[in-house]
Amino acid sequence: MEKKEEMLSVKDLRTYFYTHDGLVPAVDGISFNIKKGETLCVVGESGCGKSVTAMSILKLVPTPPGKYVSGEILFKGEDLLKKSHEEMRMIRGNDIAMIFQEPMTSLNPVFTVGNQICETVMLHQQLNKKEAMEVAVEMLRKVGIPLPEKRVREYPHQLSGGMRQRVMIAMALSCNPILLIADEPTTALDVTIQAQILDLMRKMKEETGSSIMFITHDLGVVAEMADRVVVMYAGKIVEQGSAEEIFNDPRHPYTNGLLKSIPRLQGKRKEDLHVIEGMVPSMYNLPKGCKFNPRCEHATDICKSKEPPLIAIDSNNEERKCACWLLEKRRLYK
Amino acid sequence: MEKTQLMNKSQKKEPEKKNKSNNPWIIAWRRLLRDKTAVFGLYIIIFLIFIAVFAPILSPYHPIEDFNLSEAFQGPSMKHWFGTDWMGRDILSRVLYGSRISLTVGLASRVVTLSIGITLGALAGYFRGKVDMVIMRLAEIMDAFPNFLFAIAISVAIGPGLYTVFFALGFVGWSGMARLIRGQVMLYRESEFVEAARSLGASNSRIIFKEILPNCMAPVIISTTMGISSAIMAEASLSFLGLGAQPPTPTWGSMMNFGRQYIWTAPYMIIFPGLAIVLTVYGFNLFGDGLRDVLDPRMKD
Repeated sequence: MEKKEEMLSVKDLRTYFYTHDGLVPAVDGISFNIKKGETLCVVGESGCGKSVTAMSILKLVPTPPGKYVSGEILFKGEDLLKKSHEEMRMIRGNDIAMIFQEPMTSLNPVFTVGNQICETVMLHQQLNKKEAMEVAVEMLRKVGIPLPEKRVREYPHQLSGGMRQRVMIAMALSCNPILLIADEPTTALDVTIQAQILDLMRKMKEETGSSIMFITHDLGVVAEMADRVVVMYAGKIVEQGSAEEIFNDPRHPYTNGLLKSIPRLQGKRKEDLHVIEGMVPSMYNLPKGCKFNPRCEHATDICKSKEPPLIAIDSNNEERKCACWLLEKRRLYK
Repeated sequence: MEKTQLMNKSQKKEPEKKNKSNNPWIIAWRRLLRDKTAVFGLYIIIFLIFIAVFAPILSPYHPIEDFNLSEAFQGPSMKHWFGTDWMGRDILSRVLYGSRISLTVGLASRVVTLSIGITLGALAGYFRGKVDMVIMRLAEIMDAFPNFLFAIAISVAIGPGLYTVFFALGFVGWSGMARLIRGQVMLYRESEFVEAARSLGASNSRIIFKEILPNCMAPVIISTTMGISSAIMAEASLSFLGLGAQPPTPTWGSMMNFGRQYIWTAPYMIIFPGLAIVLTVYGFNLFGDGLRDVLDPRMKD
């Protein structure tokens, strides 16, 4: 893979929450980058910090209780964390747009969908209402909504879930963002609609050349969408690499466990599905050493006392990284 | 034959369907018109507004200038339908003119309540923290006084008069309205569509005014309609106590106040303005009830 221009680069980002019950290091020193025209998937269980990472990029984490403790988020060479409130507002929706998990509630129930797309367009572009409405119709047509002239005048409750997610995508793409953050955009949809939405997002990406940061816990979706994958666990990146590398050659026991937990058609009947034992640790009370050690079948003494660093494991490819003590000893292949 | 009729029918129906708007407010309005008691209330309100607007044309006499002491204390007759008061003024004319004061007070005091209540409630609910703390403590201080006593105190402090009534009655209601708005705003500020709007670059004021407040309107409309009737009652009470619009301005409350002394000899002096108050309050309450049935999903059966 040739070197592409870096769109966004996150360096040692730490987003902590200071709550009544204690400190929650939701995102704890993660670094990654997204290149132009690339789809990066962020994978992990619920509560591992995926969404907080996304919200941090747009600076939408409520502060307090949240706080950006350290790090920088470079977008077009500028640190977003140093931007003022007003500057961020001009970036949101215009340069970086976001699609949310719940299409059913992400649209304002008292306005027509056309109206809502118009609002966004008029916010960032010098257009009058009529021109903005034309953009809205055009966007709805692009995302494959039939009869867009009629649909723009409808209210969210008159649309199905898949339609609403299309509207959300239309809204997010209406100002041609350079980066689209999709926070589990297909989780609330049924499988056929999921496939349609994924197709649509791929198509839109090719048309506009924008990058996508795709947050999901569905490895099927990852296989479908990702150029590169970042696996998160308890606020940290445990492994990253290209989609093929992650699927064919997982190095971290957690990634391995996730992949083994996918039901397979070839598997023997009556064979129990693999599960990763235990629960995601409470963020108030994280284990010492490697965060994954209580659930890891390979855990050794060092795992319980010292945290493994995220290191490059392929001398030819600096993007291929993993954080596990086992790598020091042997290649994990199971 | 039947077939063509059916065809005709379906053809006729189609343009009707196209006209049907899908605007939720229009849908609610249409549903409201199906509620007979609410429509009855609406008729009463329209009737009152009609009277207030056309009082000069409808009144047989001038409510203030046409006094004639030789005709004082006359009971209802063909000449004076509602009788005359102690100055020989036509009570019917005064009741008709009184509707102007009552409706104006009802509306003006609600405008005051809404503007204070929505502003403070939205600020408190949206920004939370210290802002919320200060505003809600103020609201609690407000609530510690009995509302009507507080209105009396304001009237006495500023000096009685019509504008005092607007302000006094409007001001005592703000805490309830602010609390209502605050609760609604707190509910919606966490909703996904607000988060989505923020992620697309909307500012705080835009989120409050364009995303959140339009969603809070249903309970506000209900409470405002209901509030109009209680404001009209309160105005009558203030006037009855001599703290409202000053004589000779005809208001229902002050007419009853002066009629009080003659309640045994000339009961019509107190009965007719009293009936007018009852009718007005009844109309607004019926309409308000109907609105609540239509707009408040929690009350729906």
